Amino acid sequence: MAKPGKTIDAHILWTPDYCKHCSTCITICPVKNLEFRDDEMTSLGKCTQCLLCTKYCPDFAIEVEPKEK
Amino acid sequence: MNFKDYIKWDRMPTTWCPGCAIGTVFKQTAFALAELRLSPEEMTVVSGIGCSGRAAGYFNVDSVHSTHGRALPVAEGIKRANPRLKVVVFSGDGDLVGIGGNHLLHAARRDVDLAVICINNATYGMTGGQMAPTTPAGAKTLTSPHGSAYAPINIQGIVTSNRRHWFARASTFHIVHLQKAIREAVEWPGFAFIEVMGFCIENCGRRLGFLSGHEMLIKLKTDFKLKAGPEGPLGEFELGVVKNDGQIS
Repeated sequence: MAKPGKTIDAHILWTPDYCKHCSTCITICPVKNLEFRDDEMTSLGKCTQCLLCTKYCPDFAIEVEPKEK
Repeated sequence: MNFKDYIKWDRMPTTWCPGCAIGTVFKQTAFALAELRLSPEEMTVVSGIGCSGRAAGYFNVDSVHSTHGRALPVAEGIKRANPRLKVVVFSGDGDLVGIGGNHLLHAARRDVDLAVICINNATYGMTGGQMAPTTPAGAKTLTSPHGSAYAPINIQGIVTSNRRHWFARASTFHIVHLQKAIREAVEWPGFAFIEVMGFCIENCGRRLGFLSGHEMLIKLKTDFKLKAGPEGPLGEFELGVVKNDGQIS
């Protein structure tokens, strides 16, 4: 099964073992929520749960689990 | 079914370069298969040689990593032997159109029930970025340092020259259209060909002045537009579906 990810925000899961630091998620994010700080993915707390990073990530490294409203 | 059931997690991460377009297509294929609720026992993935050929090993279904250019004959053999199986061919432009161009002609003519996903990065990526039949005129590659002198091959023309055909062009930026096209291609009872416009950052993009994979992804957004209006052949920079179920119109 998939390797365990790191929780970087309330509902964003980032798996450092899979991430290749290609920055596709950072470019594609419409609210500029994601950022690399010392090679660690950081969430700036602006996530609107549009799931674009989950859909575009080529390496299954970032996953957003939408909260129930 | 969840898309995670179609992936061999012990083989992750993939061998593809950071930001590679094949990863996005691989993921969208897994999403599409999960939406179709195909059980892994009733499908097979066949791939050729090249970076995209690696994908066959990452799908958690029965798969064949065939020889160079021969993905379509292998897939046709599987389909003829066991017609219940859904056969998906996952390969690149150098394999399907370059080396295996003759097989593409005849598989399309015989209208074999296959779903072919062709990732078109306009170069031979794995071997170092040589000029491929799909390289646009004027593009610099390893073997055409002053720009390619020839016009690229027209894949749409090859596939749609048969009366019964299904052809789609998608891009790795327009993922909703890509996922819809993959779903429709797997369900289409005949030869379905998807040309996915991708990119190769390591061996093609850096000679064209791109610095990272996501720059090329944004270039796809500015270059390609979804075709609006009536059905008909797609223009050079248009995405959409061209199909005919064999009826004389």
